[in-house]
Formats: sequence, structure tokens, C-alpha cells
Amino acid sequence: MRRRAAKRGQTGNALIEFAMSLLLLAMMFAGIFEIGYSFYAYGVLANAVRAGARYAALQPRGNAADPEAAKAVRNLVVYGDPAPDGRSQPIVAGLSTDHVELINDPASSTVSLRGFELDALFMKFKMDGRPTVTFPVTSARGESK
Amino acid sequence: MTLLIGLAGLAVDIGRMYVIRGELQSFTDAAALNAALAMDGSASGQARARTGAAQLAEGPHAMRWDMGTQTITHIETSFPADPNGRRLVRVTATEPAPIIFMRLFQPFSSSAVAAASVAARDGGSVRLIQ
Repeated sequence: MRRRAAKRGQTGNALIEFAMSLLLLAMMFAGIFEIGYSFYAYGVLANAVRAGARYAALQPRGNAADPEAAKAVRNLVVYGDPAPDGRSQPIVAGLSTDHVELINDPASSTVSLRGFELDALFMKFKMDGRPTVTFPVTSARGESK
Repeated sequence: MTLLIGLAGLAVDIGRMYVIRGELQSFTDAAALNAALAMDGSASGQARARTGAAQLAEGPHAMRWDMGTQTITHIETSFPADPNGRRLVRVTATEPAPIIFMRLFQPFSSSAVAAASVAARDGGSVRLIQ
């Protein structure tokens, strides 16, 4: 009899231990998910910014101050398409064209994200000035000089 | 527990390396183009090409690595010979990606992540070829 009672007491212990370790495990998995997702989203953003900077640098420099050309660059970064239709979704949730900063110099184009907050489940990561990509202007440079 | 840290290592450490490689690749692409623009076949052109490659890692609009936080410092510029008579420039960027979880399984605290790009200058035009 006594032995059975002791055994029963231990099964209770095991249940509490399991519950505690489950909590710990769940937290670890959530943390891994959060960090993994942030890296994934950052990679997507960095690629989009790169595409935008390259696209901007390939535009004729006469268009550098053209607001329509700048809009196309912003759309390319946010929607992956310079001329998106109304149904396009941003490549990362919460990203809008207001977050895309474009600087056209005579010899280069720079695209950065400003004031975007990456929402990664539990935490928000502020992206101010990163990613930043600059591409040199490679076309029609000889003519402008 | 070991398995869990291994999984965390895969997700975090390797994920971070891929992000860093992407950032370095964007940088070397732009840097190789910038270097190729400066080449004119002379030795001073090559010196300007080296400066041009490093230029994009400097200043307020510098391209950075490790989720845009670290300055790119290890930049190598070389000038491979081209059988087609174009002027080639190859830019390589190598940075030590920090290792957090995988340190449990191996002795290194960082792993070199590299990216390289080759740009060609053919007359006045410049493009990436690799």
C-alpha cells in the first residue's frame, strides 16, 4: 500500500515537471520562430531594396527628379512591381511606399527604409536607414559628363 | 536539449549567415560596377577602381552587413585577365558571421561569409558578368 502511494505521488511530480518544461519549450520555440522570421523578413527587405536601387540607377538621369519614376522605384520595393495593380500585397506585412527613401545623385541611386517597424510576433524591430543599398549609375554616364 | 540547441543553431546562426551573404552580395555587385566605371586600362585607373569599390562601404549611405549594423571592412579588389579583351574587376567581401548556438558543436565563434562579383568594362559600358 505504502509503495503505491509513493508511486502516485511521483506521477504528480512528473506532471508538474512536464508542464514546466513544456512552458520552457514553448518559449524556446517561439523565440526561434521570432528570430528566424526576422532574418527571413530582413533578407526579403534587403533584396527588395537592392532591386529598387538597381532599378533607380538604371533610369535615365533626366528622369531622376521625376516623381513618377520615384513612385515606380517605391512600388518596386514594396510590391515587387513598378506598376502594381490595386490587389498587390506588400512583400512584408506593414511595409508601405512611405517607408522607402530614394536619393538620386548624379552618379548613384540610394534606396533605404525609413521608419518601418518589422512586426515579428512578440517584438517589433525598427528599421531606420537599413537596409540601405547604393548602386552607381552605369548608363548614359559618358553623355552627362 | 542538445537537439533543441542544434535546431536553434540552424534557424538562428545559419539564417543570419544567409542574411549576411545577401548583404555582402548586394555590396559586391554595386562595388564591382563602381570599380569598373573607374577603370581606363592604366595603373591609376586600377587605383581609382580600388577606391571606387571601397567607396560604397563609407559615408552616410554606406552599405553594411549583419542586418545593416556593421561596417564592411574586408574588401579585396583584383583585376582578372579576360580572353575577350574587356577590362574585368572582381570585388570580394568577406566578414566573420558570429556563431551563437552552434558554438556547442564546434570551437569557432565566427564563420567567414564571403560574396564576390565580377564586372566588365567594354568600351563605355559596364555590366555585371558574375
